Amino acid sequence: MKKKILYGLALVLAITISFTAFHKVFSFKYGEGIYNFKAYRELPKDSLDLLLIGSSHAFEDINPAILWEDDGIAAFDLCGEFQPMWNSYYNLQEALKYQTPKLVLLEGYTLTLDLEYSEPERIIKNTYGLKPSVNRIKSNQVSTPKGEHLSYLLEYIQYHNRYNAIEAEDFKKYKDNEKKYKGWKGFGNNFEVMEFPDYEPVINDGTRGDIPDKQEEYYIKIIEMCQERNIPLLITVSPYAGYTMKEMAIHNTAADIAASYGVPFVNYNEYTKEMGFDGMTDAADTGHLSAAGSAKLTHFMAPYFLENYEWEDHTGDPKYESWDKDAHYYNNQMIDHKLGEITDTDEYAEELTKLNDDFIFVVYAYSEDWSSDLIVQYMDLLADKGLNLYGDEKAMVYEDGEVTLASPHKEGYFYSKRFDGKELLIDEEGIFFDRINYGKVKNGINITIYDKITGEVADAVGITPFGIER
Amino acid sequence: MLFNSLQFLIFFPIAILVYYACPKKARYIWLLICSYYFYMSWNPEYALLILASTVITYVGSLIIGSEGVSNKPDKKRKAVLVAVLLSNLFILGFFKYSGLLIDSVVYVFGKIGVYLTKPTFDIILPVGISFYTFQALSYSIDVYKGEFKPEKNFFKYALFVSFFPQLVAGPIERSKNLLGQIQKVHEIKFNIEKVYHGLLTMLWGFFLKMVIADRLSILVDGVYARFYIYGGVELLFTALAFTIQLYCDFASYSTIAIGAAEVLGFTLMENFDAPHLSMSIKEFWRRWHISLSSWFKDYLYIPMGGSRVKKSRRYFNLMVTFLVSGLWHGASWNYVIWGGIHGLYQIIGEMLMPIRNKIRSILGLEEDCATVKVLRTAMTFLLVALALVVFRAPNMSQAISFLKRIVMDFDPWILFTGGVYELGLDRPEMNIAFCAVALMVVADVIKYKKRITIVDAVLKKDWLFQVVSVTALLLVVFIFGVYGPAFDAQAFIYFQF
Repeated sequence: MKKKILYGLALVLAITISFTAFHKVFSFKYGEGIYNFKAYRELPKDSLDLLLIGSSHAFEDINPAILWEDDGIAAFDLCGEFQPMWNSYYNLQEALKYQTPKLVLLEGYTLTLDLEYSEPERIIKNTYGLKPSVNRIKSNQVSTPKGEHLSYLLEYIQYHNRYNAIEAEDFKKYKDNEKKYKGWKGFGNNFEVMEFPDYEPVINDGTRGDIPDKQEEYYIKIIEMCQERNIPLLITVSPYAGYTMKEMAIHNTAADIAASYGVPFVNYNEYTKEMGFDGMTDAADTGHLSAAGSAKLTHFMAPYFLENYEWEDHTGDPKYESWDKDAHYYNNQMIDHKLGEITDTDEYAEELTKLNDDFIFVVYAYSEDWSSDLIVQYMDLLADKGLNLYGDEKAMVYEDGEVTLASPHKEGYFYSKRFDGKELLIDEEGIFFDRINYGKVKNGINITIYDKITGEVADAVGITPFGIER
Repeated sequence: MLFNSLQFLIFFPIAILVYYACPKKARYIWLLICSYYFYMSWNPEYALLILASTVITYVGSLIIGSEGVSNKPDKKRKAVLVAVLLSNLFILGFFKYSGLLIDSVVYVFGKIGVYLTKPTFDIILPVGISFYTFQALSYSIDVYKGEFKPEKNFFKYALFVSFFPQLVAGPIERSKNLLGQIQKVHEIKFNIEKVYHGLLTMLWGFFLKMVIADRLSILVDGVYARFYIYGGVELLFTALAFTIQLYCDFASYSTIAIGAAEVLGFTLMENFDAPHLSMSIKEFWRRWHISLSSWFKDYLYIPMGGSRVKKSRRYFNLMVTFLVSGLWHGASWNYVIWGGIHGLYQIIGEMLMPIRNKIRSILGLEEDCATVKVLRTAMTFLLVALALVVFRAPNMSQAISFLKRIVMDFDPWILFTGGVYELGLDRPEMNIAFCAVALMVVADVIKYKKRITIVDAVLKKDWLFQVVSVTALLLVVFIFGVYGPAFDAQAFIYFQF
């Protein structure tokens, strides 16, 4: 009998361990909708000022880092791709278990979407972030077609066939970028730019359109829930280049409903001139704002927040370190992006000298002659800017104000060091971060910059007499 | 309700828990409720048919077996038996074969210039009708023969006909075995080892179905749909894949059924015994769908005279048995021809025996030497696979074209150029299929050589081996099983029969 019990225990243990590992590796690891909920639950108790809910029109357009740095508002984008109102409703209900924000902002783009159910991937993104709970079950029930409730609720049914897509990142705590997701506030910076030279704002002619029934039902539920809980609610619509009259008509109806409950509704598509929306730089595509556009919108919204709601001063409060961290991440991400845009060698040298200790950079001269004109010129240029990297070696690593020269190691490489679990390796073949070669040219200087804050290679260029190559 | 469905995942544990928790004398009632619920989950109207079949065979058998007449066959008993057989076969024929009959009549008349308008009927083929009809008929025949006393408790008998684990795809049970166990269902004790063994047997069945059969079906369905774009070797590969798919599909149902019944404390008959390791077609039919083969043997082949008759008569009996067996499989002439091919295989095989023996003796090879065994097994597998082209193709003309292309459009280079990975399963999927089939072959070799199932083989090993094997198999089914959003739940092929 004793043997049987031990056998049973061993079997249960083996199955539990195996299936836990299976879940960890195979489960979905999307940022928006899943990791953001995880990060949200990790916020210090009662620390949140502004909770942003909605679709990508919130999490790509309203930036908590800017609100934090400029206005001291601790905001969080708890949103999901194409998030219908029913998911926003249950997500909000779940979110309010953990925080009592001073303001809830509902972005209302999805009020215009006439759908009964989202696509499978979006159902997953908008429901799987919730922990097992009644809200999770209800959200699943309303989000999935009849007959498929259970197959979405039992997550493994959805993710088991990912075996063809499993990659090294799936074995890590946070897939793709641990630096980003630790302390993340849910914002997705969109660096795409789509030019709309003929952009003209849509003029509100006051027409009303029908909100799709299911969206309307949960829109009202959100309003009523916030009122029952005495949480101020603000409904906004982020501006976008492809905004139509039909959508505006629906949003007008939504504004009427909000007004009937005494809830403010701001459609920022009516204020694009005031915010300085530039069709050439501020749109990422027809529906979203670019990094520049989202910064403009956030700056434009902030005064409204400050004027109409009460906010506490969090200066020096350790509970808000994660907001500092998130803002730091955002700032560095902008620097990384800026570096990637530079095409002039002098300007590049200029920017290199401005980089602080958040950055490690590698200079690797590929040339027959280390003292060739090109190298000398560029090294002189860097020296003039205050970055003296002269040495006898072909490659050097600049970290924390110090230059380490890379010289041949007995194993064959010139330099090897791990940063944040990633290996920087320099050998004859080039500059490798995690086995990816960032060397760009074999006839000039390769410069690879690693950002310790974003945990990513910020930029990698090759400098040749013809300019910068990427 | 498919075994590989979420509904069954909920239904089965509830059925088990209540079964063991309820008063022992009420068990058969609970199982009857479960069985009808299980069957009605496809279509509630189906219940009327199974009920009709049950009532007819129950009442008929009570009359046939009534005291005083059971020991001496008389006209009345025979008439009742015939009535029972005909009424059941009529139901089966109406629901399953009326379409074939009408099509054939229209076709024949069309050939002689008389063009008939085909009447349209909205007849849905009830799942598993051939299985439970044959099970009920065998009961009536056994009672007639005096081999089994008629069951007086209608509900117990109804459970025998509808016992959910084997209801829709067998094994086709005999009254002696299953009804005998149902009569003593109150004596069944909860036995954890038996339950565990049953669950592991089910797990193996799920492996065969979800990892192998449903994966290969993606390849097979895709190639058969546009077979005309493929070369001979690709088509031969597909024919072999379908042979494995069909085996794993059908054997998996029986395996899950046997396991599920075992969890309930029942023992069902074996239905597959490593058939693809057979060294002759005759042996294949002793190992494939045993419950049906033995049914036909006992209730058709032997009553016709079996083997103890003149050679020509024996060949005739054999052909009739296989043609009827083919027809049992489906309402299409393809199936009849497929059955006929198997009958011919056996007759020709027997006729060629002296020549084969002579060739072997010229080559100096003993009958039981490894080379001969391997060649015979391979040849049997190939013959079965080629016959199954007729079984799988939507009609005979496509089957013939398919077979023609195998011979005429020989493209062996696809074995070297990765062509097998372009038949609907990409390289990782195909590699999973290869590994899974390899494991299935190992299990069959163990069964063939040692006469034990893979589950028993594992349970004979040390505890660590058992724990690791069971956990690994469970993971393999969960990860590599074909289920969920990317695939529709694949129905078991044999449900249609």
